[in-house]
Amino acid sequence: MLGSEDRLLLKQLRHGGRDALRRIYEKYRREVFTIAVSLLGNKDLAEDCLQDVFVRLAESADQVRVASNLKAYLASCTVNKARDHVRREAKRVGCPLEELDCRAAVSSPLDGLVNDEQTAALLEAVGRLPCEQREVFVLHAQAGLAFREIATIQDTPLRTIHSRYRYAVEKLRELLQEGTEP
Amino acid sequence: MKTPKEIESLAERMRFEPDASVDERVFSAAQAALNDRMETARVGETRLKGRWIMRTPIAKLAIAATVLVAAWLGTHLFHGTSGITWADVLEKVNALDTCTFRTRLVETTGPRPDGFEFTTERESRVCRSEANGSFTENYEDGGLVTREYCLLQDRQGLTFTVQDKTCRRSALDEKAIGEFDYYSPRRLVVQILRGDYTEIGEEIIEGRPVIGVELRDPNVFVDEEHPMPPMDDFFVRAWVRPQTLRPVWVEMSAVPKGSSSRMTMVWDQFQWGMPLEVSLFHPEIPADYQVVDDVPRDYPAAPDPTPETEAEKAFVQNSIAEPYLSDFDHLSLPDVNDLSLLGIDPQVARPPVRLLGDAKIRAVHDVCVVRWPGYEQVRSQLLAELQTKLDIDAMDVNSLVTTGIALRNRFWERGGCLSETGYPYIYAARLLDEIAHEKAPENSAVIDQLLESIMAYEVLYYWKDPAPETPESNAIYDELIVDLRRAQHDLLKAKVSQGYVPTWKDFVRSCDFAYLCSRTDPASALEVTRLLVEQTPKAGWTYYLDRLQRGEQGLAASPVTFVGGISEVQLDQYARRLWSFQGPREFRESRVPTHLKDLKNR
Repeated sequence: MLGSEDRLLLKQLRHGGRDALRRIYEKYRREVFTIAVSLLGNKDLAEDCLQDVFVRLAESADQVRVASNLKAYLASCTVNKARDHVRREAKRVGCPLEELDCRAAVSSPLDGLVNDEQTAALLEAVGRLPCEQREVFVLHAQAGLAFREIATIQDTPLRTIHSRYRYAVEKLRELLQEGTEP
Repeated sequence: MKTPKEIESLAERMRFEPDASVDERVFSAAQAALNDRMETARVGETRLKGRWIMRTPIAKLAIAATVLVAAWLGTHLFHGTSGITWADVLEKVNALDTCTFRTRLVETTGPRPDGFEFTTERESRVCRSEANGSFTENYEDGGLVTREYCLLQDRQGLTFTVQDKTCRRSALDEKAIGEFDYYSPRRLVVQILRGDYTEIGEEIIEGRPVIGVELRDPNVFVDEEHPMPPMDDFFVRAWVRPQTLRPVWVEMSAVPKGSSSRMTMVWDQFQWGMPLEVSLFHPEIPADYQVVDDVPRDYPAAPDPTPETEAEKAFVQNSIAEPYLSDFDHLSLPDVNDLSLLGIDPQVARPPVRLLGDAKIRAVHDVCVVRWPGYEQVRSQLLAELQTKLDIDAMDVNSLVTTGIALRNRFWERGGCLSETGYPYIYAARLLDEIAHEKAPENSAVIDQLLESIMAYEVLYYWKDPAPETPESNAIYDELIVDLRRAQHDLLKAKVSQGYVPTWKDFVRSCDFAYLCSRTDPASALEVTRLLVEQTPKAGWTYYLDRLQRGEQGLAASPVTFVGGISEVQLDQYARRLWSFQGPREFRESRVPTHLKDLKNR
């Protein structure tokens, strides 16, 4: 269901509300950017993707039909834009971690360091997943979308989405294990 | 090996956040997209509502009433044929406080009968903020020449000249700020839409459809500080993109009354509402630039030109009634159009020549004259031909001078100093004037004609690009020309000693002489200046007395100046002579001495 705030924001946006646009951006910028970085593995491409998503939203707010929630809609847009980028770029480019403003919840510098290493390893591993599996993993595990919403985005039966997620996690386990062996 | 839960937990905590600069860029782009959508939607809605309303009979009555009201209001805000509500354009433009754009000023004569087309083009790129000021880059031939800043917050104007690395700094006074406001493209569009404009249909500009309006009344742009000269033709057009209601092209074109050239100013490549960095209006002066502060100078106020004494009235009346060089105007001129001299076919057609810019005109002028054979080289041959073809030995002074004037006119018709085939005519004119002068050495009017023929092709200094600090002077002005003016001065002195009251033509001659002497013969310059000062009460040139007295003190040397004329591009070919030079008739008619220009109602 579309939350009452999102419904109001979208309505205001359809009438040209700048404040509504700003509120939506502030609310979802982080989610969209995180999905983009995880799918693309490149900061610059992710920034372009972030811009494309919100420009698209502003351009077509009066045509947007949000079936479930605004977050899922933006995630869907991000996936589509990321696919476009991937097609254009032809191959993925490695992402230097120090260029990313990684703000995972950390409580101490040591935890943060461990977390950075783990993040780097996971990001690298996610990048090695097949495209469909990667999308499912990122949208569910990172963005918190339900499998049903992901099934709509990928236009794929729910059962297949479950399978893709399961395969993705298994593959990540193997890839992360490889990274820790001498 | 990590468990699936650990991997999911790690993924859940993996969050990335865009930089603040990225936020700014992304949000600005999204906001611009939103604005664009709303503008498009607004026009669409207007049209949609219009169609819907007209479907209902009652609404037809209502719309008819609206049309009548619009007509009563003057119709100018609600022209309906384009589908645009021009009041919305007005409102939109008024709300935009920043813009960037390009301007191009083109002045051209178009192809002329003599085969020349004279054109100047200047291009600038402007960033403008109504709150902070403007930044302008000026280009010539594609190269950056100057950068200008009008800094409203600092109340300062800066002009960086690229070539000599100087920065002229001046305080912005109220007048300068008024100029900034006056030359706003936003104001221009607002003025057009408030005037009695007409719609001129659709065009494609920069690949997109636009709708235009045209205004033909220049008085819309007139205010106290900007009087509009009389015009033979004037129009201003604004082209608006219907989807955004923003102007994309504005064009102002004018032909001043009596002018043969058209000036067109185009504003295009607009980006309205563009965020402009504040730092743009806080420029740093590069270390290798020399700063020159413009200190306001107290120029002496121009004297009141209104004549009061009888002598002053006579001086003014004579200078109006007898333009300089008019002594032979009452005589008819012979037809010399078919006269062939020095083997040049008088009917040979000129190939069209397009000259771009003042510098090009001067360069072609000097190159052309250098290619001619020298006057002394061909004088004997020319004399023989004139004796045979025109029987000049039988001519009296008046016939010699009028034939000379006709030949000089022919020279200008052939393109003057820009023509490779016109020189036999001006050489012949000079030769006939010399013979007339020999026959009547005490006739100053004949000397005037001779000087005019010489100055027609002899310039004061030669053109070099870039111009040197001290231009190369033409020696003929320090020799033959000053001698001829000296002869006139001697004649004047003799007549004055017998009680003669000098005329305004004597005044012009004497001023020329004073100026020429000031270069090489200060004693003679002082002598003639003192004579002019002494004669002022009788001769009535009080208007120039202050300048003459400063000339006496060595501060000024040329009190009389002719104004008008040179401001148009094609007339630059008549520059670089003494002030008294008159040139072809169409040029002469635009020139008047300063005291007439400054007289009220002129």
